[in-house]
Amino acid sequence: MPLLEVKDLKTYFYSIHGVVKAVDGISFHVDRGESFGLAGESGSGKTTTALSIMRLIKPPGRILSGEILFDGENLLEKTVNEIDDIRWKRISMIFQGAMNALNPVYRIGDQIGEAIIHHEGATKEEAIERSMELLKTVGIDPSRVNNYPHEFSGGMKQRAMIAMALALSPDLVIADEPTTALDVIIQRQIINLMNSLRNDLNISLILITHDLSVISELCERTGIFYAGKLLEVASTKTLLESPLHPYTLGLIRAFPSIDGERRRLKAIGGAPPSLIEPPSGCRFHPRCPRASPKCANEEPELIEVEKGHYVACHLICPQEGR
Amino acid sequence: MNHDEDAIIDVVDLKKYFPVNMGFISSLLGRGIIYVRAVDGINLKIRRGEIFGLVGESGCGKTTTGRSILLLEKPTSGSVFFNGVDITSLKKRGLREFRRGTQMIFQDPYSSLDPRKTAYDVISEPVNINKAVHSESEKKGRIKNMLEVVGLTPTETFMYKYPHELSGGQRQRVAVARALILNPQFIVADEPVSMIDVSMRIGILNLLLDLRSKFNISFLFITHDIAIARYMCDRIAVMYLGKIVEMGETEDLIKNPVHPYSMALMASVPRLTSKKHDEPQIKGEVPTAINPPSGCRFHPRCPYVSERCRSEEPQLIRVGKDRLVACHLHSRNLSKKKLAMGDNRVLSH
Repeated sequence: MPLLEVKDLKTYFYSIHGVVKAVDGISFHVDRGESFGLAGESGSGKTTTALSIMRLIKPPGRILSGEILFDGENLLEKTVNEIDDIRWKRISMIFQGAMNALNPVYRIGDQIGEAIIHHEGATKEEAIERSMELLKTVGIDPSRVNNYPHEFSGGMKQRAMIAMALALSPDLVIADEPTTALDVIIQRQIINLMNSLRNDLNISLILITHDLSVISELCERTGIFYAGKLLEVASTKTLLESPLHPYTLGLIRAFPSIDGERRRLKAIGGAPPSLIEPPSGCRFHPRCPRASPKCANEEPELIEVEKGHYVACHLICPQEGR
Repeated sequence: MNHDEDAIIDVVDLKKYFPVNMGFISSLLGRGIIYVRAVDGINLKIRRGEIFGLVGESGCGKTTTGRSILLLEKPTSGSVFFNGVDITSLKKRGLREFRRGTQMIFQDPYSSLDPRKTAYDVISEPVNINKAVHSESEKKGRIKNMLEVVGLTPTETFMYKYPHELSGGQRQRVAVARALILNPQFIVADEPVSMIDVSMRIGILNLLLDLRSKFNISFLFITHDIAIARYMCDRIAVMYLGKIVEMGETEDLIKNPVHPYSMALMASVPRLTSKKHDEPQIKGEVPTAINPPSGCRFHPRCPYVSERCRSEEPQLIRVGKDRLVACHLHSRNLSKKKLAMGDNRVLSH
């Protein structure tokens, strides 16, 4: 049994302009100890998926349907109190924008310790002691436990956020764009830290990013999001080396790299669609170079075409593989 | 001064310091003004038709350099020659001429376009200010033509759209059209795609590449993304704390950096290929530009640091064809081979 299984999840936002179908029927699983990447452009539904798993969707947003099975239990059927026992203790999150996610008027140690006191009933002294251990784990001098966030650099704040997510030794950590606002060298340090923590602590990871190269460095399997749907799921290696969906292929072909031949890249035409009135049929069809009339009328299912390789595209026949 | 005929822009010892806003008490006590030395003495030449890249981490002075070259910031000292004329000494008329010949494309197309103006209004503003056309129909013709150049077709539809009706990529195309309408010779593009969705980035970059080949426009291209610099630039300069530490032909510099900072930077870039590489880890983070380290500014983080690096500032010297580096390891003539072979001390924690 996988650690996390998301089945046909739908999360909509009821805005004054209409219903935004941010996540519109997605399914994937994360195995124990595995690192799973969710890649896609802004507004494709990655963060909404994460917040749905954490049960942190607030009105006007609503989880319409689907199941989120964590260790076999459906998180969507839990009461608020039951969820409180799971959230942060078993599933924690590294929020996007570490610079703003820390409270500027509380000491770092108090912010890391808050969850320990709340969930485990530890005393303040115990919590500070644990915070110091956690800081050491993420490569910060434990004596900085009494600093305020403004005394930390950007990279250190991101490390503190990671320490916070690890505070209660969770089974699953969801990291939302953990390296996006960071400079190249700091980004490298955080990627290395996350890789080594994952090996040492045996936690599962869901990594959300728009950057395929970060996915390539951190994730074993990856799902490609587009306009609220998952279009392709496979091992990261397969996805990057032999993608099947035209969108994945387009993304990789449009990705500048510092390796390989220096040649002209090809852009994907058009822009991502509105999620209030998404295109009929396959959501990618207005931008797809290989779209046929069928693509505009009928929505393709996410089907397994090779072992562990799922694609939602009418062009791909499961029998032949491609 | 001797000027390179090929150079459209020649920057000589450019400095830009910003005064730090100090407290009332400090100013009463007459403590001297403190400065952030954002750009601290840089030299570079941009050749005609060249795309010259400035790369480095945030706060290293890339944007300030770009803005100072266009006189959007008044340089503290130094000169900028545009077609051989020192623009820092220009008066009204000459200045207007300079401004017409140079343009800037900003990072954020969500804030660089006035939300109350249509694409037509935005693009026609430089034309109106410079009285560059004689009739409304001529103006409309030029704007239509420009929308076609930047790929916003059908032009009749896009002409009257407001920014909120456009995607990020389309907005940036409007900004590019605005920059192009007066046929500039030189454009500063400051992180032009960092706010654009990944699937649309290449479209904008290809547009800029095409403009260069079609109109022979020269660019200063500012980016923190090494892969994008590789895609766009003929030559690049790596900046660290207000200084250029290395400069050279793009592909060569990315593949064989010789300054310890460039080496760490290039080795840090995440890659699509599964090739495992030795992890670069220089310690710590960039210090502040208020009181930069003595000698070589990189010395507190450099694994090759020696006594000389702490006291004496290294000059940018030529170490190969089209390659300049500011590092005592090279002026001391320490075997370049040792560095180039990737002695991984820079790369270990």
